[in-house]
Amino acid sequence: MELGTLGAVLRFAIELEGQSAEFYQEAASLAKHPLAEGVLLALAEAKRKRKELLERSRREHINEMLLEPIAGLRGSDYLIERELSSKMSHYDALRLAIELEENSRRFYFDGVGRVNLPELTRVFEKLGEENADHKLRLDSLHNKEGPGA
Amino acid sequence: MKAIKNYINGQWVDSKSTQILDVMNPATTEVIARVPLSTPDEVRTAIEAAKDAFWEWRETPPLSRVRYMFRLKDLMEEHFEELSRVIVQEEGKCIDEARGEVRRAIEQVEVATGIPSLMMGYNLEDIAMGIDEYCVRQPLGVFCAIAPFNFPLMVSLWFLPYAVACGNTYIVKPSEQVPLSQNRLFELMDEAGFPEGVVNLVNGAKEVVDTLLESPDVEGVSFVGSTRVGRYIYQKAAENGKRAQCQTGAKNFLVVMPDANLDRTVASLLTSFFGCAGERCLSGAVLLAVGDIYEPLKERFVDAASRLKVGYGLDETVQMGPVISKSHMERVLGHIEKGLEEGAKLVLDGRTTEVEEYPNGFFIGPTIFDQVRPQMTIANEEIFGPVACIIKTRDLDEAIDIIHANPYGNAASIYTSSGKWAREFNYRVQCGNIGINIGIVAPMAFFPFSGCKDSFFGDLHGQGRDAIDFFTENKIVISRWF
Repeated sequence: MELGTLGAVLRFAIELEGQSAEFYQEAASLAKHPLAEGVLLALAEAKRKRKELLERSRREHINEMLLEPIAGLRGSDYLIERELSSKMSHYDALRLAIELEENSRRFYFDGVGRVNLPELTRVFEKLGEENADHKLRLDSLHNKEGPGA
Repeated sequence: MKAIKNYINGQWVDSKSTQILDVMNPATTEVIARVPLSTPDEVRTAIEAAKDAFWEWRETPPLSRVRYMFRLKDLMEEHFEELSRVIVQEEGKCIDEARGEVRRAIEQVEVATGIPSLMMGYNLEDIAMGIDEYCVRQPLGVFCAIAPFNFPLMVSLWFLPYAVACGNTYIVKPSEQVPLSQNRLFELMDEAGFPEGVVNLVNGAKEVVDTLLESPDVEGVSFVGSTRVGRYIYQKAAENGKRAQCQTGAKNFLVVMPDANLDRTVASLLTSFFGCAGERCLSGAVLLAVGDIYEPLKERFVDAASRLKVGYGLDETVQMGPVISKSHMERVLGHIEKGLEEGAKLVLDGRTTEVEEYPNGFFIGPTIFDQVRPQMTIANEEIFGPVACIIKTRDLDEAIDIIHANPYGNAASIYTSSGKWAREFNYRVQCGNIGINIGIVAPMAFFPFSGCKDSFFGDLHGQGRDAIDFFTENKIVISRWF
């Protein structure tokens, strides 16, 4: 899935955030204790806000289509390979979430140098940094719980 | 199949016209609506409604008037994606281009919400002892817009929000090729609750235009379209004692100096020449490559243009859509043939572009002519399609001479790292909109959309402060109290 235009990049980003919100909502239902559930629900809410931010950016910042092709961004490089399932352990779900955050972080930072629109570059930097922060929170939760938790 | 109606005096009404045209999606060639060519009587009904609504609207305080604009802005934001998709379906541009158009349209409404400040007059005490003088701006009555096909939503909003917020009433005649966006916009205006008769929509063609221009009850007209039609409207408006502002054709020259940043320049040129399939009055038309940059610039530009993806604009990966119609496609192809006949070298041939899923769509790929001479037809006439002409020039003076030999004066750009060259260009070039390392010089809503020579007929332009002047009359009051 080649993301060769700004429109395609933004559409992918918006879908990514929508899917991430659903992922965390579902992951929260697998949580074994209220602390983890709270963190996962907060992340679901954060992803919904990020989706809104991207939609707003698309509405407000693109007042001229940029025809300069975007090279080297493939959507499939940033998706997680496994899906969340109700049979999955909470620990495995957290590992999947960490992978999701890492892929998302890579996507936004790879995108920063390519979108070539200052307003969007700023948004992508912010989102990539948030992903790094989310990953730290999940790492911490994951380390506390261990595989047997 | 949607049957387009007129919106007159706050009501959606069917036209009684027997002349009905198909509205076609230019990518899929599917007929998506049917639009009437309204009769003179229907136009007169709209004029009457706008005239009747004027006095009460004019007395409505400006702050109350702009509240309708705030509501309209909110509704347009709410329906942003829907409006964008309608534009793609009827006009053919890409979805991101359509989003840009909707954004620019909303900006006009946003700026018009500032009318309570923008239309203030001015005063001076003691012009003589004990005598004061002040100037107030007053609305005039009924105005109208005659809009083109290429920005089906935005162009009427270059005018309507300012006119209406200033206290005038309004009639829009959209292009009969693309009536759907205006139809949706008027549904939103209806929802915003504008009083009956303040805003009206009449679909049609020349007969509608002539009826508007001949009516003694229409104070002024705003037009965007070709130079031929613009000149006609300007003359007819003047004969009938109306204000007129006619933004017309263009042939925009983009000069690339030897010190230009090549990477950034090529990216900007792509958008300028091929954005909206070249169907905009600010599109680049002729690339003037100065000195040694000619070869590397040509090579990079052709390579980048050859990789643009052409297709149906609702696909987010598509970068260029079709042109508006079969007849327009034939006209553009005719220009390409003419270029070949006159000896220009076709270095990128868009005639061979095919879009597999839509074999009947009106697609022409990016087309580039090299070795163009300034006297050639393709270097002089507006093509309004994705066709770029490259001319090599010796220096900036020669480039400016070529620009000045052209009858149009809409926009021109220079790409350079030199402030001196940029200033020289900005200072000397006789065009209304100048770009410095900018390929599409689209003025924001709070600046006038300028233009000169054969690109504009009138005195006051659309948007910005000019809009306030156009839609109001200055009244002077001199007072002395005994």
